Amino acid sequence: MSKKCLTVDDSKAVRMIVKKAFTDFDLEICEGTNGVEGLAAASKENPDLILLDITMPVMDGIEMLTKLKADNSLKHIPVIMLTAEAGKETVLKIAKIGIRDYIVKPFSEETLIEKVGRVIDLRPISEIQDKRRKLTDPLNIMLVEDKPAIAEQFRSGFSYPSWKVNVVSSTGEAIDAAQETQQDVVIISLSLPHDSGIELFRILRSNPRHKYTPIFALIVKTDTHEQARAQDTGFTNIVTKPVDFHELETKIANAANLDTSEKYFTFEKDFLLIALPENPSNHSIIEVNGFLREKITKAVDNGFRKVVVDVHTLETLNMNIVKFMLDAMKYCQELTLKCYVVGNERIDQESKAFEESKGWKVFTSVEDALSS
Amino acid sequence: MSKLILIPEEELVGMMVSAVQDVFTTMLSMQVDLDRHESSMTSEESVPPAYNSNNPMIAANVGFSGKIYGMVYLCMEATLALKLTRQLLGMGDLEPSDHEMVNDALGELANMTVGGFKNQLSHKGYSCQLTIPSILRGTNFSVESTSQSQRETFYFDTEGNAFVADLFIRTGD
Repeated sequence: MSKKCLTVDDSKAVRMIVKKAFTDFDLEICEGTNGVEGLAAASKENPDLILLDITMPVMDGIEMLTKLKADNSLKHIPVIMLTAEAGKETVLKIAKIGIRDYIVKPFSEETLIEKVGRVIDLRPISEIQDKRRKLTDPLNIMLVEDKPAIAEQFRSGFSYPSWKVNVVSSTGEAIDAAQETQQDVVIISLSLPHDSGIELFRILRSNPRHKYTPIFALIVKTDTHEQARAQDTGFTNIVTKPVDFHELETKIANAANLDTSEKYFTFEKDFLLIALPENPSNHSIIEVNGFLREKITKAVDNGFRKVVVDVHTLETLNMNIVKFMLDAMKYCQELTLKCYVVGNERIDQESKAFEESKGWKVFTSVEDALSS
Repeated sequence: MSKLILIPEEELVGMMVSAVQDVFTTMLSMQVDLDRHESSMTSEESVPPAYNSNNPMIAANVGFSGKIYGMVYLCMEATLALKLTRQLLGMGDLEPSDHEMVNDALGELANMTVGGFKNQLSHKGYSCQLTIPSILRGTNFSVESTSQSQRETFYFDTEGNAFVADLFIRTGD
């Protein structure tokens, strides 16, 4: 899945310049014109980075940044200020709230790309288009963990047999293993003695071979200090113990840029089937949403006229699922495709409770939907 | 003529020229040179319009306030504004009738220019903050201040096209 950057600036010209700067990179740009829209977009899109102006109408950048950092679900998103304001007092004030960098306008494309590249993994789009692997393709995962019980969980925890977990228990073994075989993902336990986990991260990152390798930190869930330290050090992501392997699979797939769409999308003979799993997490909804427009557009390219959204395995509806289905219907409408909903009796009843979904016709099977 | 702020005129000129050149070089990859500079007090009689033209004109205005107050108007003919917008956005086919896009681009160029100028003021101890840009369109208009302020008018040339940066400035009382 592509990285996502939210640019918040009241100037359309600046937003266009930012978008143009990253044309050759695998980076999706979403936009906000002021702090209010910015917060809403951050909540909806969960971007990997925010580029934020200061002087904006309705809500300025300082207020938006303050509110962002006060929100537990948004405070982890790194922010780079992109602004004409460079007064010492303003810069100090903002730095105290918490930002990753500060770009003063006017700015060159090169400066923008360099500074963004320091915060998120920027990959040329050509590299992505050529090499995108599927979930079921082989993947080398190196786990650096000295506790046998945790290591055993990882050996058997993943759903994909093609994912090979290579367990090492020390920094030295990890460096040797990484030299011998290219690792697709590295997971380092920060419980290793003498703080060697952080040191190992730095050693791997200094090797050009592993400059872009996703490296995760494995940390106890309640250790927020270590999590903050891992974030500051530059780990790609954080895995908390006890490990939710379903969530970890999503993080790995995202970091290794795997095409996970086959979990949700099937191109049948003459229609596109979109199926949500039973009890989808917020991560799953965000994940399937990431492919939605691309897959529906591909359905049009394939000459399809119909899309079926199958939610019959769901036990219940929530606003995130409703919003996702509304997005699917919207894209279908834009591209003049017919969109059908397949569900169960409970979903049919629950859909009547939401203003946005009360008009839906819910079919009991794909066959019924297609023959209607 | 007495001055309202304690920054030497030479320094003020240098600050504005460097702010304008920084924006044009970085964002537009265009050469810009100062043709001439005029200094006046807005209380004086017969303050000339900053720029005389019978062609459609645009002025982008950004203000600043704090320990020092003022505003800057970037005035130019509409044809130059269109050219700068096309250059800024890489949109060679932008239509002259797309006022919204040109207004936005010019507003942002003014924002960056005044931002650069204001940041230099801050380094000299005159901290202040920017306003959001606004745009004027018309022909043969002039800008005058209703209160006493120092006026510095800069006549620039960029690759054969003229434009003006008109600065009104005074310290806070």
